Amino acid sequence: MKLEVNQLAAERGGRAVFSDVSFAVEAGTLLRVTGANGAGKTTLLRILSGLGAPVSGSVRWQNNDGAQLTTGEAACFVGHANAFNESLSVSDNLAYAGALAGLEPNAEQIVAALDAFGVKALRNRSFGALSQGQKKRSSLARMLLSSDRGSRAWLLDEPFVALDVDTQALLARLISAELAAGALVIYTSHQAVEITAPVVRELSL
Amino acid sequence: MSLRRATGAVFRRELQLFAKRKSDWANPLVFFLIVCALFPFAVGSESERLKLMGIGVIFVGALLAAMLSLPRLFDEDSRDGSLELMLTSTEPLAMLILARVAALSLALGLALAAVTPLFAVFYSLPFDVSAMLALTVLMAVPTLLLIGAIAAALLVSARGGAILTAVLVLPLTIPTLIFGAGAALKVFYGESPVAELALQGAFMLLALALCPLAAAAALKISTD
Repeated sequence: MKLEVNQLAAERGGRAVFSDVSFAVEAGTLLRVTGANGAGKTTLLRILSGLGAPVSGSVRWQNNDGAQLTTGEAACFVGHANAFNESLSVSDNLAYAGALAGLEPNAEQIVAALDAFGVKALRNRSFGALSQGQKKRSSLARMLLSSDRGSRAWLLDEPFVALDVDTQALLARLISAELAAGALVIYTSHQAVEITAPVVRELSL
Repeated sequence: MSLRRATGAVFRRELQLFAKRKSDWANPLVFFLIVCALFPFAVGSESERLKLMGIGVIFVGALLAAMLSLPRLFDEDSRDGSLELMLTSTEPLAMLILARVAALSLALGLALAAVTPLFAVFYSLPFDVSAMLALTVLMAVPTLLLIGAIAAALLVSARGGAILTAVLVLPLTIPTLIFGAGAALKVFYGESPVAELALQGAFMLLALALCPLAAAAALKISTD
């Protein structure tokens, strides 16, 4: 997995947020995007995940053989919002997220993904009845739905918000494991959480 | 294969939500009931006039009731973030939107068509006319929701979006209104409604071909 970003420029509401951002990252890299409030961290992640369009510049995802990947195939984006419906159960929400991501999560994979975040017992509860931290954890579980570990880049926008200290450490361990499996993780965070990775880089906007 | 799974998941989820939240289908039905029940009071009980009016009132009432469901297409998903799942999906957005509208049309169209003959009793319409009305309502609901999906996508999470959606969408449903109510009028006068039905069907197919693509483009623009 490889990501190449060339001369990216973005604007929000008609005002330039950043311009001339170029970088290339390879499998196993942990890239932390830093910058003050309003520097465009979220905007950058939204462009990388295909949710936003840049004013100019290009984003290219490639797999290990150098073949071009569409953004949907290459990346898994977890933003500020949980992206789960409050009226449906946790596992129904997770199955829906998996199907849209082009995956084929079976019941065991869904349970395993929830178990990794310690929320297996909540799988049949309605999502609206959970606490903020539980919501965040079950929503993060969708990153683990792919059966092919390391095949998707994780784009995480403030993943540590609303998580307690133990869960922050748990998420850091899961990110490390994913990186070791050959993934690529790009995240923004105001909290300093220790994550071990083969290659650590920082992009300052 | 994964396209079928993704559209199937969208379709199933829409029906699940419809079944879980009773207000989703109860609100349009109650609204439809009130609109149909108000007119006979205002118009008076002269039976010939009431019958002629009833055809138009029931049809317009069904369209307005279906309009009420338009905000649920994208607004809630935009608030809780699950719209991002559709937008970043590996599958074409237009197909996902089509699956969503199809599920809503099926549930809402059947519900509105099922109560139409019941409400036709208020206007003492003969059974063959009310059956034809039910059929044309069943065809009009998908047309309206397909056109409405474009407006709902453009105005997703905009302030006052519901009113603007109605203003944008209702004028575009005039052809389906003319042919739908027209078919029931033809039956009322004992003539063949085939031409009107064919034209209404053609209009529905046109919406089916064009609207999902337009709605997908609109959704991408408005969420950027």
